[in-house]
Amino acid sequence: MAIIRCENLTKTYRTGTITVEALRGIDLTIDKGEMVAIMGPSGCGKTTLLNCLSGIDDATSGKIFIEDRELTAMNDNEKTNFRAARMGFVFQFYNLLPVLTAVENAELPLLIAGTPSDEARKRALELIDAVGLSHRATQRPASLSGGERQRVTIARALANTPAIVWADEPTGDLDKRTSDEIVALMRRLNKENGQTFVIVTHDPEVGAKCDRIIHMRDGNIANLNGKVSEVSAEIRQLG
Amino acid sequence: MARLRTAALVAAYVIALVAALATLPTMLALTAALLLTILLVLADALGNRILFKMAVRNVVRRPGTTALVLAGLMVGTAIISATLVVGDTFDSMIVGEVTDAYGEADLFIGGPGSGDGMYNLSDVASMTEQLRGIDHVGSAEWFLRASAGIRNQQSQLSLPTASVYGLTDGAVTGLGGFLSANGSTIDAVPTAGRIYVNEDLASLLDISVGDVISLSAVSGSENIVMDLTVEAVVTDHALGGLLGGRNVYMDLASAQQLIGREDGVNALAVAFDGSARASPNATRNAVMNVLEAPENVPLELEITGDRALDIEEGRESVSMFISLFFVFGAFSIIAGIVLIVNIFTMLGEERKSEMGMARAVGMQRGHLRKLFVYEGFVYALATSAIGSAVGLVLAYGLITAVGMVLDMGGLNIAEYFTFTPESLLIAYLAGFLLTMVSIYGVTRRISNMNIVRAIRNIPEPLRSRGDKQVFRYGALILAGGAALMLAGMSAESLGPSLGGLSTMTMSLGLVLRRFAGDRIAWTIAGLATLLPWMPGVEIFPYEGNIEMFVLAGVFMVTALLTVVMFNSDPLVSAITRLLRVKGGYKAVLKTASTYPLRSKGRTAMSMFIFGLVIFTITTLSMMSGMLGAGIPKMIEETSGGFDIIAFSWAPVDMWNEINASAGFVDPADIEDIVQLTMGGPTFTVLPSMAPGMEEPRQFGYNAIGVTPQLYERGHYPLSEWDRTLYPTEEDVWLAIQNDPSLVVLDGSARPADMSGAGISINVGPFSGIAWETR
Repeated sequence: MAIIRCENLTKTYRTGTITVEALRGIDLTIDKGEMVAIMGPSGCGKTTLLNCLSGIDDATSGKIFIEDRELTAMNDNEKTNFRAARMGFVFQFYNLLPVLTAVENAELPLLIAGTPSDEARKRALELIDAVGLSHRATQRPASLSGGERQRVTIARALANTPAIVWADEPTGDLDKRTSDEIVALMRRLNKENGQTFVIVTHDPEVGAKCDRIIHMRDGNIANLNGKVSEVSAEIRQLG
Repeated sequence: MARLRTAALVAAYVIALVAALATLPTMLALTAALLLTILLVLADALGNRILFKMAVRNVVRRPGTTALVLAGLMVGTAIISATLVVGDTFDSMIVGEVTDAYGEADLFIGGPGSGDGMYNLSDVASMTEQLRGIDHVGSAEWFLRASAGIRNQQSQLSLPTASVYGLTDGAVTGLGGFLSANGSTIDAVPTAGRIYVNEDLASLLDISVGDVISLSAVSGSENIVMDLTVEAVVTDHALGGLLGGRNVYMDLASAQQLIGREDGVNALAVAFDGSARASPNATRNAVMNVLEAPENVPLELEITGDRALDIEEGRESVSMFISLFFVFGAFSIIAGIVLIVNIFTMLGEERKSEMGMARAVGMQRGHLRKLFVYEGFVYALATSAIGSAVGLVLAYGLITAVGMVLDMGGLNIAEYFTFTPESLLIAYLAGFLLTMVSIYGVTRRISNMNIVRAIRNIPEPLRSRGDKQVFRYGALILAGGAALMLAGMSAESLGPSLGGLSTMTMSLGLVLRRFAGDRIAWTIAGLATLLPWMPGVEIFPYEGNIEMFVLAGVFMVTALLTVVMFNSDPLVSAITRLLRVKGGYKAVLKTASTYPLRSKGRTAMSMFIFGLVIFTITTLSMMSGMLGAGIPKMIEETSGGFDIIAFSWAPVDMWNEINASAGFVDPADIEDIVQLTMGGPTFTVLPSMAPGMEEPRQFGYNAIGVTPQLYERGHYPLSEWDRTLYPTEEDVWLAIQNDPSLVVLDGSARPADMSGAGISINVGPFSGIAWETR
């Protein structure tokens, strides 16, 4: 059953007289519970596609449906509320709030969504425990390692029990061992909770652990069910 | 749900605020407004605890930044607080001085009397009784005020002029009595042969109780000298500070004897009771009615001193100084506001990435605004308190400096330093409001960020030329400026007229960029804004007040800055070529200029702050320079080149005095002394001499007998004279010495009243001699 669907999605950037077509009419469907990797060489539009699909950026044209609700028809507040309720985010540089502790960062989406504070704290502690950081729950991001910060980010992404978790280069800033741990964690959560994971990555090992690879090239989808070896070769060749 | 809660809170706040402002006295209303605002924010924060927690933690996140923010935020409050406290101090000084000068009296009344201002008590007895019968008039007592030379026989110190008061016991009681230096109250006049002196005079002549002093006064052509014993030294307050002079107090009969006027009095003090003092108009009118009653008109009495009026005039006279201080302070306040905006913009930039993430996970724009408002609230609470206190210290420093720099007639304003709780509360409220409004303005920009650009820390793109919203804003501001200008023109007020015009010209930047691009549009806007403020350019023929200075500073700095910022690239290029920067240095210069020009808005704000400071310093330097050049010139013109000009009521030979001072003054230090005779005559201008005049008019004037030494040693250039009769200035001076019918009038004479021939002047002892001006 499709949870994410987009039709003829385009995104064009204009800077002065220069126009860049980042997405050139993408049609895509991702099923519920899938763990999908979006891969391709630098500048092919992977992150732009993720940003548009998740509603943190506006597409220039086309339609996006998440759980059969048209995201492209929502206003800013509606999109924000929808993201808060149904989506989680993991980014390469963590983007944790430095003034909050690990558990406070994890409970932030819950509190914003209006969850009572006791309930939010309980849920956040469970998540922090689930990502293996219960001993670091009261530490602020500055005193956590890169891998620990990314685990907190994953805990925060899962706080609202989202239907979809978007991850943009989640292992891009991590060493191989930590990277493997993070991908394994996401895979485990995907299996256990049935949540959909959409991961933008350059890393073939991450792609290999996903159900499917969406291979992108020059703002288009080259292959909806790409092969790791082909994509890796193209990335090596083009960067 | 959250929106409903916020709406309910705001509605409750507005209702409570309006009710408080409408029903409570000012102070309580202001306090209530502050408390309600604090309650509103705290109540809202209760529903957004995580945001409030983040805001508080952000405040203490970086101590260095926090210190900078605190300093920036408190500037405005400190200036407002200092201005209000300076006002309080001046007010305290004015009220204190007037109170000291008037004692318990509210009005002083006098008139021409028998030509010398003197009345016989018996002639004014009936009128005085009428005054005593007016409701709220506590007392009406006559006394005698004269001037006399004074010498302390013990210390041998003397003064050419002291005020001598002849009083009755009734006058002493009615005017508030004396307070002796040891703290006891004195309610009676000294007995005959004895006097009181006030502290001001006593300290000058080293007078102690029991000293014998000589008073010397002129009566007709006779010099009367009296030796009297000091019975008490009284404080300079209440009756002891009467009319603010160096005073001698004696019984009325002795004073009359000193000036040779038996039964003579020349001043009437009228005291109101407490309620009439607070609002004196009705009682003053009743007094005026008595003075103007037909039976009293021949006395020609009028009010010569009015406590309430003097306080009012005193306040008006210092309001200029306070305005000037506020005007220069306004630049600091504006710079402070820009600094607040700049600081919070930088904080926004610094936290851009994390805020972008917060938006991604569900924070709405409103949440981000609240986050900054809470943070600003914490800052505002603290900085308004610190700023109010700093303002107190600033005001004390300023008052002390003013006291040291300005001669205020022997007054030490620092002694009057005071402040009212109202001033501090107003400063706190103003600072609080200023901070919150400034921060809220910044939060709109911060919250409007694009999430992706924020997360990836990419600068926001410039608005394109075709952006219709920018054009609409420009058109709206243009229309607003035009409306303001038209309103100013209809009221013939320069501020709104020129302010409106400048708003219009600045808005041209937003309008024209659609057609000509940013650089050309903003250059035109900047230059067009600058033009009306240039010296010599007068677009509106209206008078401006001192506040125009603030407008001029803000618009001129903004306009110039706009031109510079939008031409920064060619300017940097031109400077590079002009300075012939080569090789590695070229790269250094390019890099150095790239960083500030990358964030033109923030750079412009920083430059604006510096620009305002430089504008203020330049203007102050110019004013100081002009005063520096003008004051010596004025002193030279008015002093005629003499170093000391002194007056004495008693005939005195200065060389004898100097020789007798036993080395106190070294005669070798004195090049020359020119002694002249001076009288205080009245000019009478007859109707036949001035067109349109119906009745004779009199003018008080000083007449000085001229000797050749005056114009040979001194320098008193003449302005106008009959050059056919007197070819040189010296011919004029010689003519007035040889011909008693000629006078030279000084610049204070009003040409309309005193020009032409045949003006009659009565000069003191030479009464009745007619003089003629040519």
